[in-house]
Amino acid sequence: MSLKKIEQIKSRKWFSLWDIAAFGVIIITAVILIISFTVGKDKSSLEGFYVSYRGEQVLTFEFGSTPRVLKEENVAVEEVSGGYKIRFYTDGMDGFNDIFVDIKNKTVGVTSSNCSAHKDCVYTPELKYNSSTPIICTPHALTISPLKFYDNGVIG
Amino acid sequence: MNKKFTACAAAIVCAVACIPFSACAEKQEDKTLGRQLYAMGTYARLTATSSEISEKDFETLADSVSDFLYETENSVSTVVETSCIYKFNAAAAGQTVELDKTAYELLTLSKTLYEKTEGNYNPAVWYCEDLYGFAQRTQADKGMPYDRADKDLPEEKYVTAFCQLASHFNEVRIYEKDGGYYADKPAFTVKVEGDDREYSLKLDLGGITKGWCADRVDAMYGAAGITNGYFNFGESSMALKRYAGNLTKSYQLELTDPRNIGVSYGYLFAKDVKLSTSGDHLKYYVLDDVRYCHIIDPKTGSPIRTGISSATVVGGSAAEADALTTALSAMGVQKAAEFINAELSDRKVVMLVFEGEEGKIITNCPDELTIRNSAYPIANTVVDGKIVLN
Repeated sequence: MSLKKIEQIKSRKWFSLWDIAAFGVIIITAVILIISFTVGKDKSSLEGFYVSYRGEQVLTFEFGSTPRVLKEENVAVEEVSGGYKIRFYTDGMDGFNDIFVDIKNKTVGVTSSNCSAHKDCVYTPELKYNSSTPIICTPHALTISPLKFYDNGVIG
Repeated sequence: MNKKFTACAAAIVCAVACIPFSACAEKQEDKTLGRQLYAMGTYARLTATSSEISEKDFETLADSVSDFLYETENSVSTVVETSCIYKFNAAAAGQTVELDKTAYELLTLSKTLYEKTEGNYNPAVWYCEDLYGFAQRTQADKGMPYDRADKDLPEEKYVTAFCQLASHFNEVRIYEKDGGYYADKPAFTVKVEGDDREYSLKLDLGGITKGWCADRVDAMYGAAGITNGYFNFGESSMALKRYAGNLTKSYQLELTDPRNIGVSYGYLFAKDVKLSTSGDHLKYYVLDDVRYCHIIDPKTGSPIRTGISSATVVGGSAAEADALTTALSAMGVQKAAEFINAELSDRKVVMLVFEGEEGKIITNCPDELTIRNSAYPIANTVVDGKIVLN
């Protein structure tokens, strides 16, 4: 290497503007990757759900399989276009909630009920993720909850 | 440049590639243990990590929590016929009712918070709740004289009468005697024109019980030596320990947008803390473009119309926070800000307020709050830790 070349290298700035820009992009990418590993609401699609009545499970379902009825006196399952229609009955069969399982979109929600005038359960957003908020029908003591949930550090 | 660039890029890529073998590998070993329970008309979630408690012991703990919630519900439910509060509500005016320790403690705390909030937290609004269709009913409550078609509002004479009834909560006398606990029901009753019934005071401790349970479960976690995990009771009251999956050990607490259910309008980080939140989105209906929610303003006997759509209090006991969120919603923005400045400067408070369609945030911790929805600006400054409304 010629002395001229050595002098050129010696005189070059340690960080040029482009160096800083390039390192900045890499660091920002790394930070985003780290954050995505550690923080972020669980958006994993719903793997399954269970239906409980007065705190006791009456039906469980995992996508890819068929509904598993645990208390026949409280649930009736019907295979319909696009999924399953599950009719839940309270003891004595006075009350009912119709639950629809959308197989393609992997969601479950309440479509109708005779629980109260307000029908909170019908208006609660359907379960879509493993982190989705359970659907609760207070008058019928019914809950529909994701089968699995993960503590990923995000609450609410 | 090329060599430096390659060397730095390689170092960063290596560091990123090592993540799965460090934090995430630790997470895999530290398996999250979780249980979902049903109690008091809602669900409860509890978690812990396997490095601190075995799966078997966690199941035992979860069973204990389930039993505890069940016992509490049976003590203070308004619809379980053997509960102390049911008996109190069913008793005639002026009668004495025996309480168990749970009901006694909750009622004592309720009276303290009633005084502290100048009556803005008032558990004696059962009839007001029922008048608007939000109370849980038993068979005995079916077919009340004030029942009406779904799309009608209650008659004003009932609103006035039940509001007056609730204002006599301070006359409930609770005491301990010979090892037993008792409550004297006020002698005051109301009658409504054209209605033969005589109405006596009825309680609903739902505005404080979930928080009280979160405090107790937090103590159960402590006794079991658990430092990681959380107890979330219906997303309204929580006891947060630490989150084992990140370096700060903090949970990211998302605040639900009451006008966009399932979507968060902001978040803050929290650990080793108890908190409660309330909102007008949990139970409500809309008549003639007016939202009627389950939170009753004791001053009017009707659902709150203060514009405070959601209130969250982080810190202190969850029971107190539970009652305070309800009270703040009833106070209105000006009085709530004054109350926060005077009484809650050691806690983080976030309120979402609507004026028509316009939403804004009032908080005493703006620096710790990250806003997700720019349509909701922070509408106050904080000077010396005190809220100053713009």
